[in-house]
Order: sequence, then C-alpha cells, then structure tokens
Amino acid sequence: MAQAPALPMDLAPVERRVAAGFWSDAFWRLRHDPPTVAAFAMLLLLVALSAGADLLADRVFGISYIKQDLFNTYRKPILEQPSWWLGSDNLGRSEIVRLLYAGRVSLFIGAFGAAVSMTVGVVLGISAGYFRGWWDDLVVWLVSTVSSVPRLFLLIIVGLLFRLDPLSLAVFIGLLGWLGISNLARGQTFALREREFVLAARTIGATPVRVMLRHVFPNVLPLLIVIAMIDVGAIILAESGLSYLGFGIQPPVPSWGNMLTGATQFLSRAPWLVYGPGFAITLTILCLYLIGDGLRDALDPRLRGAK
Amino acid sequence: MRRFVVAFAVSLFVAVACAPAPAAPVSVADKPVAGGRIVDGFTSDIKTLQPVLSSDTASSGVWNLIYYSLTRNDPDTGEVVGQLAEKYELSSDGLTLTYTLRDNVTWSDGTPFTGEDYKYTAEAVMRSKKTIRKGTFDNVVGAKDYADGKTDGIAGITTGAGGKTVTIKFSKVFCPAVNQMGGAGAGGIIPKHKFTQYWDSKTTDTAKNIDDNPMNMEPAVATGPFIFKEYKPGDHVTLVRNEKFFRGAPLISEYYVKFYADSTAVTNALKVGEVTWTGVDPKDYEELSKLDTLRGFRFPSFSNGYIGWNPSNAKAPWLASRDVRQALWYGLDTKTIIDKVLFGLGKQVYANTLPTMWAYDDSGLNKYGYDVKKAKELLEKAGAKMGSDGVYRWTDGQPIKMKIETNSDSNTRTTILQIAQEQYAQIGVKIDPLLESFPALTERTRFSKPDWEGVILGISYGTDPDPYGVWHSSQATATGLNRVGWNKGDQLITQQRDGPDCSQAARKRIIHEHDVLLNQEAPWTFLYNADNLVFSTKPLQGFEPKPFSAGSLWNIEKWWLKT
Amino acid sequence: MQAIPTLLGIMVLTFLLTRLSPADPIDFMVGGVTDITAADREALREAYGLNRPLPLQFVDWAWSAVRLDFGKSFFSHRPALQLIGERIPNTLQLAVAGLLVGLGLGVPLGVVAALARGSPADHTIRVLSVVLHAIPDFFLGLLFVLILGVQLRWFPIGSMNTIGVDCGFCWDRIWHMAGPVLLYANAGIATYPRYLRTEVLEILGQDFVRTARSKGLRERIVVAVHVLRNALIPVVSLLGGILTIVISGSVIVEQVFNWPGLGRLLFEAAQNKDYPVVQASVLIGSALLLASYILRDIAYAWVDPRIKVR
Repeated sequence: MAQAPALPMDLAPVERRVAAGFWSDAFWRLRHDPPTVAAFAMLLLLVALSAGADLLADRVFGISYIKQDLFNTYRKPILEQPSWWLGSDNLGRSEIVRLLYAGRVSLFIGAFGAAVSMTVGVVLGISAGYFRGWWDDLVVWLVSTVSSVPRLFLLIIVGLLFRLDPLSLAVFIGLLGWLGISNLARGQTFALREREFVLAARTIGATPVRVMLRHVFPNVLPLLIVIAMIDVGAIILAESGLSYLGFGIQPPVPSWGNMLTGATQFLSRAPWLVYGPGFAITLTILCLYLIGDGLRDALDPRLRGAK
Repeated sequence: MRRFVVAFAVSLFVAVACAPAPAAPVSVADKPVAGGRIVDGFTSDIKTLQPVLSSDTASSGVWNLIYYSLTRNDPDTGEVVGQLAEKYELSSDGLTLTYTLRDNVTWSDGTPFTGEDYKYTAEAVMRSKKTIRKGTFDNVVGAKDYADGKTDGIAGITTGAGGKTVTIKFSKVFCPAVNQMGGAGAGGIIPKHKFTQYWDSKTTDTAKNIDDNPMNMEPAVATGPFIFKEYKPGDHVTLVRNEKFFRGAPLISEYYVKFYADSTAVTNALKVGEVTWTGVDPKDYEELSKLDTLRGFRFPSFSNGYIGWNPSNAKAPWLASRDVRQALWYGLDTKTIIDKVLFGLGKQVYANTLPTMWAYDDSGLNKYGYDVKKAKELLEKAGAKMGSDGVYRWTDGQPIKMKIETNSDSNTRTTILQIAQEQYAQIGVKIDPLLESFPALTERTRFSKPDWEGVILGISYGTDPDPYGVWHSSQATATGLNRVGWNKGDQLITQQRDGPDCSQAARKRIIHEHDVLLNQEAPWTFLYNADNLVFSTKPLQGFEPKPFSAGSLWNIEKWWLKT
Repeated sequence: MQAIPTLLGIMVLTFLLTRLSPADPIDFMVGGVTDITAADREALREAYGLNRPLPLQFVDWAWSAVRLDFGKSFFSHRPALQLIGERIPNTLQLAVAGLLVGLGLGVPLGVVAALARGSPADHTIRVLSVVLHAIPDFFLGLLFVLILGVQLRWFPIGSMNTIGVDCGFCWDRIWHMAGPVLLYANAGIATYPRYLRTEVLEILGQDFVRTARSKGLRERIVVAVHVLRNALIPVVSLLGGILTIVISGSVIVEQVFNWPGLGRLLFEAAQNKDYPVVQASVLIGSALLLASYILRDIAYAWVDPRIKVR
C-alpha cells in the first residue's frame, strides 16, 4: 500500500481571480515537457485499450474473458493465435483479453475512487476552512480519527463484512483517501478567505457557496489535479494489495490485482502470466506519477526554478 | 529515463522465470543415527489437543502422535491389529469385545497404561458437550444412561485382570466395533491419572465435563512416540521424543509442527529444506517431482471431494428436486476437472464408498458422464423454463440462481468452483461464488444453517466404510457432518452397523445398496478421491508411506535424518 | 491534548464497523457445542449484554477497553489482549527497523540526487524511486521470497527465527528481518528521494549558498549543516504518511513473510470472524499510530524552530 503522503509544501496561492493566463501558461509548459507528454500518451493508450475491451475481444481476439478452455490451460504466448498473445491461464482463458477487461475494472476503481476522495476532501476541506467554528472542529476531529486508523485494517473489516463489487470497492477506498486533500484544501482556504477578492465578493452579498465555488475552489484546483493523479495510482495499488489478501475483486471478474495474485500461485508452471498484470500496474502508476510530476511543475512556477 | 524504467522492470520479471534450484549434498553413511528434528508444515493452526473435542485434521495431526489407541490398521492390509492392546477378541454373538493390553506399556511419566484410561476416555466422550464422537457408543450397554446422568459410569465397559483387559458389552451387534472401538470414540486414549484432577468421571453431575481445562491444550504425558513440549499459537507446536514409547524410543529427538500462511509458503519451505516432509497440492506435484533434493510419494487416500446441495433452503427450492440435482451432476465435467485441476492424480467417485475401501463396488452406479443436453432435459422435466437471458426459471418464476461456496485457502477447490460456475452457466444455472476461511465455512454450512446452497468440501474417512458418521440422520446437527440432512439411508446404515451379520460380504452388499441410493438421489455431486501426495527432503530416512497407515506415521519411531 | 477525542472517535468507528456484521456473534462463541437450545442462546445473549441497545453496548465495550479488557478470542478462547501483547513487539521490531532503514537509505539518496543533478546517478535514483513505488508491495515481497529465498537461498523465506533458535535480537533474527524490513523501507525509498531532492535543490538555489561557495571551505560546512537541517523538515512531515504505510502494510508484509505480528493477527482473526480480536487489533493499531503521530509532531517542533508544540 505505497500510498504517497500529501505533498509537504504549500503551493503558493495564486494571487488573483483565475486569469486566462495561468492555465494557458501551464498548458504550454506541459506540452513542452517530453516525459509528461509521453506518459500522457501511454496512459491514454491504456485507457483506450481497456475501454475498447469489448470491441477488441470481438473483432481481434474472438473470445470472451470468461470463456474457459480446460484443454488449453497454461499455454505459452504465441504470435499466431491472437487470443494467446499472452498465453492462457490455469482455466484456459485468454490472458490478454482478461488483461484488457481487468484494465477496465482497475482503472475504473482508481478513477472513481479518486473522484470520491477528491469530492469529499474538497467539500469538507473548503467548507471547514471557510466556515471555521464548530464545523471546522468537527472536520478536524474526523480527519484525525480516520487518519489514525491504519487504512488496510479498515478495508479488511469492510471486506470482511461485505461482498465488494468494483463500484462499492472504489467508494470505500475513496472514502479513506480524502484526508490529504482535505487538509490542503482547508489550509488554502484559510489563506484565501482574507484576501481582497474574497472579501469583495462577500461584501457584495455573494452566498458562501458561490464564494467557495467561484473564488476559492479554482485556486485549489491545480493542487487537486496533481494529487488526483497520485491518488489514482495509490488506489490501484490498494486494490491489488486487497486482492492478495483475498478481499478484493473476486474472480471471475478480472482485475489487475487479482490476476497478479493468481499468477503468482502458478509461477513455477506458467511464469509468463505475471508479466501482463505486473507490467500493466507498474506502467499505469508510472505514467500517473510522471503526469502528476509534470503537472506540478507546470502549475507551480516557484518550483520550476529549482528543477 | 523511460528506457531505464522499462529495462529495470523487464529484468525484474525475467529473473523470476529462470534459475534452477541448487542440489543438496548427500553423504554416504547408512547406519541410523539418533537425534535431529523433523519439521512438518501445516497450513492451519490447531484448535485443540484433546482427542475428545477434536474434529479437524490439523489438531488430530498433532495429538495422533501423543495419544495412541488400542488398535490400528495394518499399514499394508488395513486389517485391524493391536497397538497398545496386544490382541482383541469379539465374541461369536458379536456382543462382547475384549481387549488384552500389552505388558510393557506405560505413560511417559512411568505410570502404567491400563484399561481404566480407556474407560475414562469413553466416559469423557459421553459427558462432553462439544464432542462429535458420541455415536461410537450408541450400542454400548449403559452409555446413554451415563450420558444422561443416571449412573456414575458406563456399565457396559469393564476392566479386569488388574486393568490389563477391557471388556465392552453391546446391547446390539455393532459391526464396525472392531474398527472403531479401539480409540474409545475419541481416536486417542487420554490419561486418567492426569485429567482426573479436572474432572472425575465417577459422578452423575452432567454439568461437569472435560471440555474446559488447560490440559486440553497442554498434554502432560503420552503413550505415543512423542511428548508435548510447547505450543506457540499461530507459530508452532514442539514435541519431544518419548523415551518410554512401547515400540522403542524414536530415533528423532524432536518433532516440530510449523504453521504457514498458505500452501505456497509450505512448498517454498519444502524447497529450501525448512520443512522435512509434508503433503502438497496436485498443482505442485509435477514441479516438486523434478527437484532432486526431494523425494515424492503418491498413494491412494481415504478422502474425497464433493459438492453438497442444501435441499432445505427456501431460497433455492429447486434443490429439493432429484431431477435438478441429477442435472447438476450431468452438467459438470468431472472427468476433465480431475485431469486438469488434479492433474490426473485422483479417481472419480460416484457414491460414498471410496475405491480404497474394501466395500467398494461401482457396478450399477450411474457414471453421470458430462452431458449438457441431458442436464437441460432434466431441468425442464422438473419444470424449469428457459428465460430470455439464458438462465432457467423455476416453477415459481424465480431464476435458478444460487451460491456455491468453498474455502479460500484450497487452490483445488477454488478452481473447481470457477469451473463449476462456467459449466453451470452452459446449462442455464447461474452461480455466485463465495469464498470463506475454512473454520468459517464449516460453521456456515451446517445442517441447521439457512443461508447456504451449495458447498465444495471434502471428507476424510477412516478405513472402515461405515457411512454412519456422515449419512445417518442423527448426524444432521449443528456440529455434525450430515450437512444436507440425508435421512433416506437410516435403515440400510443401521443394518450394516447392527448386523447381526457382520461379515464383510454382507456389509459390502448393504453398503453398496446405500451407495446406489446416494448415486440416484444425488444429495451430493460426488467428485473425486484424490491421491495423497507427500514429499520429503532427501535426508529423511525410513520414511515409507503406506496406504493404510494414517499419514505415513506407522513407523515414525524408525525415522532418522542422514546428515 | 486533542488526542483524547480522536481516541474516542476511533473507538466509535471500530465498534460500529464490527457490529455492522450480519452474522450473529453468538454462533461463533458457541461454535462446537452440540446441543444448545434457544433458551441457552438467550441466556448467553443476556450474559454478554447483546440484547441491550447499541449505545449501551458501546459504553460497556468502551469501558472495558479503557481498562484493557477486550474479551476472549472466539477462536482460541484466550484473552484478546494477551494475543495482541504477544504480537506487538514483533511488529514494532520490524516497523522501527523499516523506518530507520528507509530513512537511512532514502534521505542520502535524495541528497545525492540533488547534489549530482543531471548526472546518470541522479537519473538512476529518480527512476528507481518511481519504479519501486509503482510495483505492488506484495509482489515485490513475493519476488524477494522466490528469488532471494527459494532460488538463491541468500535469505530465509520467512518467520522470525530459524527453527529451534530462540533469540530476540541476534544475527539470526536480523537475517530473518532483512526481507520484511526491506519491504517496509521500500516505502521510504520510494518517497524520500523525490521530495528531498526538490527541497535540497531549492535550498541550494538560494543566495546564501552561492555566497558560501565562493567564500571557502569552513563557510561551506556551515551551509551544508544548514541545508541538511532544513531538508529534515519535510522528512519529518513525510514521516506521518510513512507510518501509516508501515502499520497498515504490516498486514501484507507479515503475510508474505510469515511473521507473527499484529497485521497477521488481524488478518487471521478477520478470516475466522473473531470479532473481539478484530476490534482489539484495530483499536490498538490505531492507538499506536496515534502515538507515533504525536511523537512526530514533537520531532517536527524540535526540528523546525518556527513551530510551537500545542
């Protein structure tokens, strides 16, 4: 569960209403950063392949992901037969087709879980920073409580009590990951709420929601995007850890995590089975990390100097 | 940077596939030497070291070495021969069984082993609230009265000649007597002189029993080859040599049982020599056979694998229909499962009696060859109608959808579950798989529990083919093994159990009738009788598995380690 | 301090989660008794207070928990606290070692990367750090066991000691700790170099450093110390995240390496539906984490003179 801890430094809050210049500026920097661009392209490819799993299974491979073939188990990868490009597993299923479907599951869990985390974190963080008072105290107490319980411990209890399908798994993991973003959002909101443009908005009678949404949130957004990237990776890793323990996505629904776990049990018989899921997970997280890095560099001018 | 990344990752994965195991050195001496430690790898922790309470194979695997019984099965022929007893004699009317104990048998503390120990064990069984072994004494005079608290001892069990003989009187003939009485029901005889401080069997107070006392986890003395030394929960059990063992002190000085997280960890331990001998999964057999640091053994076993169907679950009313259960049997390609999941290391079975038992007779049994068409016909005959989504609808309109569960730590069973799911989808039955830990699974799928529908499990039998322990209606309890509540065989079961004709021929005939009934009614989809696959490291000498030898331990006192 | 309400929050969370289970705890408590009647069950429910309203049950449990009475394991019938007490030192031994090794490897790597900016060494370190982060830890652990353990026999495949050896902190133990500690340290090696490198580079980019460079050796040593001191700040603040990983990840690490610690206890108890032990493990695990956060805050205040301890 190598979930990256929250970034230790404060991104200096951007000093004005988000002007057009900031984003196009950032975008320019992104475009000209080769590793980030490459990572982005790779990630897009992975997502596209996974999304097109149905299409590919039909047209290219001609086999579904649950079709077992007990007479062709543990096949080595061969080039002539597309469905056996990565070989077949212990039940004769096509490894490559399963890998594509598993990509769907794992990427979905990562993305959805991160979305849940971000939403909860931003809502709680900004509102806590804005309203302060008892609400702030409550949120802080909630944060310190949940952050004191080891993540996997909680997930195990949850996995113990409920049968988890991809959606609920994503929600649960997401519900445990909002702490970092919440703290940062809260910190930012503190700094921002005293700034002139916020005070100005409040004077003219803008509702708190409007202020938070239009003035505070856009300034939190850059940070949010960066953390989201890292979060998706962390969630995919968490899912694979859970699969190893037996609490993750249950077969026959394939996920990269449970495919990897399954493959390790047949390591001596069919070592090639670990390559697919192993590479997939590592590659995805690498890309996410690089993109996150690139984004952070692009969005925070202060760091560019140090690099 | 990307190149570095890819290269690094690739080399990491490639390293996994290569590199053969190094060979272990073997020296030349051939004379047995004393000393050394044998390590046995278990994948499940023990629950108790009290034979009376024991019902799992992990626990019995340990106390089997501590508490012996009066008789055992001859390793080669399976015949019942004397162990702690020198001989036994069943009267011609089958109502009296007399054991004559050996002369030189003592407990490891020097106290003589007598018939009083046997009687005490039997009484402990009858008063225990947690045992599943009471059935052994059904026909013994006075056993039930004692259990009810009417007497202060089992009248039908008496000792004589200063404790050197034990006589058991039956009210009715009990055919498996010779096979089952030797262990006083519990399978191992416990020391009266030690346990009596916790529970005095001479009492009519049924509230007291042997169930809760510390010696259940810490045996003080032994009649077996090893004495208990220490137990570290979750980690290991240590046993040390019993110098007073009646067949002569074992050569090995320490027997160490180590608990591992899963079977992969055990096979790893075997490969590096941390474990001296252990049973392995079929999927590892081939790979381990290739290593020259290990010796592999394959021999028939007395255990099976089956899918049990719960006919009393209101949410799955179709399971009460025989046609449906037969359809489920036809709809599973058991033969291919044995070939591919067991890698051919087992035989298909069609009823309760195993090919390794003397009563085996598969004539007249339906072999239920894989036939999708026939399965669907049977389902339709029972009233099912195919729905638009490819799943049959039962007569009440519900889709035929149910759970099959099994224990997550058995690779074999979880694979079979996945295959079953896929193959049953072909016959229009939707299966939801469920994995549990073994202790939780066995509790969830008892007869009285309402929530389970199908379960993949296995039974480990003794050598006697008596189906009582699993199939008699009295075993359909909260702790019994008759999970599906089978009650159609009571008459036949009692007949082969109570005689009066206890000859093998007669019993074989009756047992076969019962098998035919099981085969037709299909309360279980009987799957396989898997072979025992055992590996030992090369230094272990004297290790010679035999089919009737209860885990190859028949000559454990003669094992030694070549250094 | 503000730890108390947090502790309370943890207790509520733990209690609620385990009580959410649909299974009847009585089933597991009496597992094995053959003839228990409905009346017996009711009596047991009474005795264990299971038919009182939930908030009252919580108070009961919380009160005993404070007095460190967590009930008996459903599985082995031994006090839950005893089971945990046996295992915690084992987990702590690994955790502390893992943290230290992670720091000891991660921090220097980060500094080196910063100092050697742009060189192959810098690139290698950065690549290594990212790749190690991207590989799932159970997989890394399994590879370790398989390659370094089974095939090469350089390290043991698990457990705390070789069979028969019974020492606490000796060479045998250290040899057995290598695998799991490296796995824990992985979290550190994956995180520290990147952040440290950025921090150090930032500090190096500042004026006083450049001035020091031109002024001579003594000046440079003073600056180096200053640089390191400032670089320590993110290290300490990152510690929080690493600690979570270490205690939470103990479940996986201890399973892979057959180490009898708290994580593995929780996992086995969860599999056996052993609620008292599950509750107690989560609570004590959380308390441990909380305690380490407090220690970290103190360390943070000590390292950064600008922060005051509350």
